[in-house]
Amino acid sequence: MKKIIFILQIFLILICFTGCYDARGIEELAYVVAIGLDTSGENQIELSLQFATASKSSSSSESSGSSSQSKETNITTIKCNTINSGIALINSHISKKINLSHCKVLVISEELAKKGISRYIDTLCNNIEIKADCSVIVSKCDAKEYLENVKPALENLTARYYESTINSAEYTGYTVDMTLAEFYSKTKDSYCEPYAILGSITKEENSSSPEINAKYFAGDNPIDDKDIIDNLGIAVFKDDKFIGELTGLDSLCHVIITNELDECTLTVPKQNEKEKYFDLLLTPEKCTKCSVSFENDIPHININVSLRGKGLSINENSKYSTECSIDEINTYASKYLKDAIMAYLNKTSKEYGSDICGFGKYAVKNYLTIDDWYSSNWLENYQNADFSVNVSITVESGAAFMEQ
Amino acid sequence: MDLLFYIKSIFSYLKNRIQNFEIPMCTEVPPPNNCNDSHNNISNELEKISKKCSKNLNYLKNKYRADICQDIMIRDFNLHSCNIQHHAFIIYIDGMIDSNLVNDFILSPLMIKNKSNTSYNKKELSSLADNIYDSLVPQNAIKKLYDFKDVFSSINMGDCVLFVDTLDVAFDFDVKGFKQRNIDAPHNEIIVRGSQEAFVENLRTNTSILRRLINNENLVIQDTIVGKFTKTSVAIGYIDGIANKSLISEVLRRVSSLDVDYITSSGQLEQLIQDSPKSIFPQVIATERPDKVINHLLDGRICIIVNGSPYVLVVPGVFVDFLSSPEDLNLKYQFANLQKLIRLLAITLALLLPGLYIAITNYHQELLPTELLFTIAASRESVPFPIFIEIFLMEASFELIREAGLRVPSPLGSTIGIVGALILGEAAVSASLVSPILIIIVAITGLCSFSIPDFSLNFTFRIYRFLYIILGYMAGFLGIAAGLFVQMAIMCNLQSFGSPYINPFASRQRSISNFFVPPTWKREQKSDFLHPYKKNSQGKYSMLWRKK
Amino acid sequence: MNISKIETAQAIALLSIVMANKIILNLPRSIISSTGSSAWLNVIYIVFLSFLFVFLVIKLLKKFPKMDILDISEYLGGKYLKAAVGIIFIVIFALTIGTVLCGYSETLKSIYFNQSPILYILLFLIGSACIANKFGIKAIAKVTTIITPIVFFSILIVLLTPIKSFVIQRFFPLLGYGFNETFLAGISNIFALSGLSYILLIPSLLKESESYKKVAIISLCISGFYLILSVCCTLLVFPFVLSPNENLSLYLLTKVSNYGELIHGVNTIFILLWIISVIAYISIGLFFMLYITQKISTIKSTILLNYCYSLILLVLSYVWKDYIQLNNFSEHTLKYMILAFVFVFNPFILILANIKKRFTRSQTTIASERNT
Repeated sequence: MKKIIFILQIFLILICFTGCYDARGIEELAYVVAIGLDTSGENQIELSLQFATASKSSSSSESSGSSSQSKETNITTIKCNTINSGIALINSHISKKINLSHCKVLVISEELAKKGISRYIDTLCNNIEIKADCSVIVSKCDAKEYLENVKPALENLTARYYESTINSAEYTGYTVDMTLAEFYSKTKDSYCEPYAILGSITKEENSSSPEINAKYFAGDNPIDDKDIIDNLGIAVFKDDKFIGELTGLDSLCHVIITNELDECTLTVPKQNEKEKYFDLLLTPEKCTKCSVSFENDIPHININVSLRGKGLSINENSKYSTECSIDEINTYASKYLKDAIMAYLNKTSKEYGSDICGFGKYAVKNYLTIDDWYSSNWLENYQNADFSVNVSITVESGAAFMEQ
Repeated sequence: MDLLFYIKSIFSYLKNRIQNFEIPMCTEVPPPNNCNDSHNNISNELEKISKKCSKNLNYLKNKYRADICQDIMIRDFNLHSCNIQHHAFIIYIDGMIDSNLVNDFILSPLMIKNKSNTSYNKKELSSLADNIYDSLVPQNAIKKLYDFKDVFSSINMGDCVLFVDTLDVAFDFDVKGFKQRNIDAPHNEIIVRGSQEAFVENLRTNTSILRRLINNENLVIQDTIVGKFTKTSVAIGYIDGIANKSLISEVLRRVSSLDVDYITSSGQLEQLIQDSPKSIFPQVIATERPDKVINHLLDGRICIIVNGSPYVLVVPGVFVDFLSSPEDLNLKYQFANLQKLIRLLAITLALLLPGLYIAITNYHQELLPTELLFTIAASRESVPFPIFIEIFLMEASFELIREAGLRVPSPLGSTIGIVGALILGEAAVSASLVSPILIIIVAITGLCSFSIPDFSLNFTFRIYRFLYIILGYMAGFLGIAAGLFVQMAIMCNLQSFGSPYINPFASRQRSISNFFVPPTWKREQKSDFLHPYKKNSQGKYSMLWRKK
Repeated sequence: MNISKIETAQAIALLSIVMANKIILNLPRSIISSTGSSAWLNVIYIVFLSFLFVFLVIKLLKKFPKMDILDISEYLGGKYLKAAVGIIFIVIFALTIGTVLCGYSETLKSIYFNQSPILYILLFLIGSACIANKFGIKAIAKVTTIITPIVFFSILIVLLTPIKSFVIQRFFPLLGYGFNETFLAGISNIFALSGLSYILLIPSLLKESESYKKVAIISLCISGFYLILSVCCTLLVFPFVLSPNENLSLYLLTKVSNYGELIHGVNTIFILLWIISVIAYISIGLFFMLYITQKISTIKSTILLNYCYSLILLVLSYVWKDYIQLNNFSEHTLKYMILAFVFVFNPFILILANIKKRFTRSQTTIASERNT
């Protein structure tokens, strides 16, 4: 009897072996590095997938030093009705199965974003493979063009390039890092509205005069490199529709208000001298404190910003080692920043009516139940808000050399 | 018929045929004044040697347990001096003395060269047998034999038997002079900081090593015979007063109730007495180092020495022992614990690395960082086999190299190793038969499995590693998780001579059987699971020179 | 077959791992969806109530040392009450484990095994539990003791890593869907601590029966702490109106948190640990089913019964076709069954048994006084 049981067990294991239905070798998959979505027609989208290809040199003894991914990437585009049907169609076209688990970036064109993207975001969030920290970029040009113009100059891997580009927001503050999970969460939240990274391709000429503090929209960056991608500013959404753009300076203000500032460089025009500027390296000293109070259903939002600055630029004519000169710098730097913040807030509130800073979460303390909160309709009420901003910048001298 | 049996086995009670043994907590309290002495014999503590020979003899017999220790030799004889007959005896441990010195310089002068012994009054003629025994033969190990059975055993063991006409008793003299291997450095358990002695094949030499190092009269070495044909001597050693009595009797019971014709090595004996013969985990420690055996004996375990095998068995053996090296107790505890950590890492990798590799590359590609992913994918582009076949090929060739390396004669040994490893590996990669990453994985796995101190546990993990490869391929992390759970359940269920194989969070912190050895001055307690009589082996402050 | 006794630490681990599994499966999400942003108040309230329940049980069991609920029901109502209570326990355990199996294998199927038949996954889970039960409670308890700290540590890491995306203001509005939902109707959320049903069965399994109090309180502390922490963290990270399709809210948390550039997809490692803990949970449940069967009948050896019960569980997990049916069943039917039986009926039995004991004792003292 024991022998029969043993043979039955062996059969069971062998049957399980014929299964292994889901084992897919690592070389049988095509890895998508970026997804692009464009409109094409009334209800159709154009899906572009950017694949990373392994290097052509297959002989292993040669491939020791360099990375195994070649610089070329492969972009496949298809017109379809939904994302999953598009992926299925591309699957039938290329030789390997598509795997989205290394997707770094989702690019949505402006046109498509204006029509509303919640169903695409929901579909992608529902997808098991996509990592939730995939970045969301709204591009002013076509998404396909954006992907085609990704030219990593300083690294080998495209995937690495995307990560590093988005990480630059940490030390410049001119854009934000918006991940898919956060975007999805903000579309469902009743406290705030979603926003995304604004991207474009650098154009050939720029007729406008250079502005300080990246007061440009994406694509207007006066950098000399043509035809490469440029992420600058914020794309503002209301509900799930794209309604407006913000410049680099606005995104700097946004980052300061939402406590996401690591460090940034602020160029402050000097008080009495025209066309003369002073650079500061700003880091947060204390958290930005916001509070919301209601008066006749009109929200009054109070914001207190406290930053620490280090003087970066040195001019032989300026003095900033004395106390009164530092106080002077404090004052006009704070004023400049306060004006910039007020301009940004008015833009979001009056012009766009979209609470991307999330002031709603400070307002919710005034309500006791969820029904009360919903009936107050904060997101619509935001455009009636008025603001009072206090900025205090404490400047320390960052000079390595003392002035004469 | 079968159906009825199965219905009965569900609804009626089936007695468990195999007896389960557990070491009970010791109920006897050792005598309060002297914790070294716990046998409940009637002899009082003698401090001074008494004038009565018989009293001394009884006392020594009790102390040394001469009734069961067969290497405690007592040679008693009568000697005449100044017309008075005195009863005398010499006591010594067999294997530790030089027989010629005893014969020539102790017994000869007292027996033959003693004129009053050899010249006797014709009226006081004692029997021939007694005369031979007491006076004529100054031989330190002389026994009187009455049965031919004993005669055969003695002759087979190397003794010389004397038959005299008109006597119905034969004399057996221990004049063993066969050649044997000298005490040598250990070949297979080499450590840096420790003694370089190893056990040899001869039973007496091994027991003498133990006696010499333990240096205490409470060490009991009991001889038994196993095997009806070869009558192999098996000695069971323990320290009376430390080891648990039930454990001792259980070991004796198991060793003496074996119905076999012969055993020729300790490996065969190990398989006959272990708790779960079907389990692939080793349950008995086998070692060729005396210092390891002594540390275990002093902790409360029992050792079994088989004549003809240089490997001594120590029972009970739990999982932690197979991961310890004898050097751990000799080094500073920080170094020893670092080594243990490395060994822990080694067993995890040896067990799981190929299985995890297969599971990750086939099911869970998102776990790999993107660069590593492309490296692996690129290296696997030109390989014709799926990963599963590749791994089996490499593991099989590794095992073949290992086997071949064992049997190749030594001048060629290292060459074959280098040839096998380098050329096979390098050529296989160049011919795109396997991917280079896999070579690294198999090599690391092989290295880690060699880091396991115990020889048998090595095999265990080798077998389990194949199981994990299969499970990883079948169902990725689900298979590996199920496999880990079942393996842990098997290990937790295992027992070795009444001690649980794995005892999580239940061992006392301060004994040498912990996974992480405590510092030497903190090893106050003996291992809890052995339920020894003497619980502490150090005072509360062992370094008294530190106390002010 | 003798059932060996388990130590104190092993008993604590057994009881706590039940809660860990409930947290891993969708418990925080179901609490949040019923109470909204006041889930944290609700959960603290529930844990407080369950402490009261446990103290009550300990006090009532003081007069019956080494007796569990089955022995007490035998004392109260004879064999028939014992059999009835035992059978209801078995049914509840079987349904709970069936829902756990079904939910977990559906989740695994949707994440990793899209094409495999669900039987494949179920076989691994039930097969391991069945094999572990062949070895008995001692092996299961030891394995649980080994893995419980690791599982709890991993849950702690998962809960605390997304600390950057905590939005404290998600605790407001304070009362969520209303006072009624939070405190009155919200009492039904105490089914989250349905692991407390094991507390009623464990006294006869303990080696040192004096440590029963310690076991119950420590395991409740650990479970309560983790429940509160998991609900708070889930609440703070996700907007409460979110009803994600992921069945494991903890899995979502691992997706959201970022562990650095080199470490990707750590959720897989956590899944490995949680599969082990689910298998442990299933084996514990299966063991208790076998143990109760042994107690209420004269079956002495449960080896083949083990296979029968495993087969029954396998069939049970096919009953619910998809996750929605499963959710409906567990949040509407099973919840009230557990509430009614564990939290109402069993204390009732204990109270009656206590009254009976006092009555018989007073009778015997009166009788002995009469005799003297």
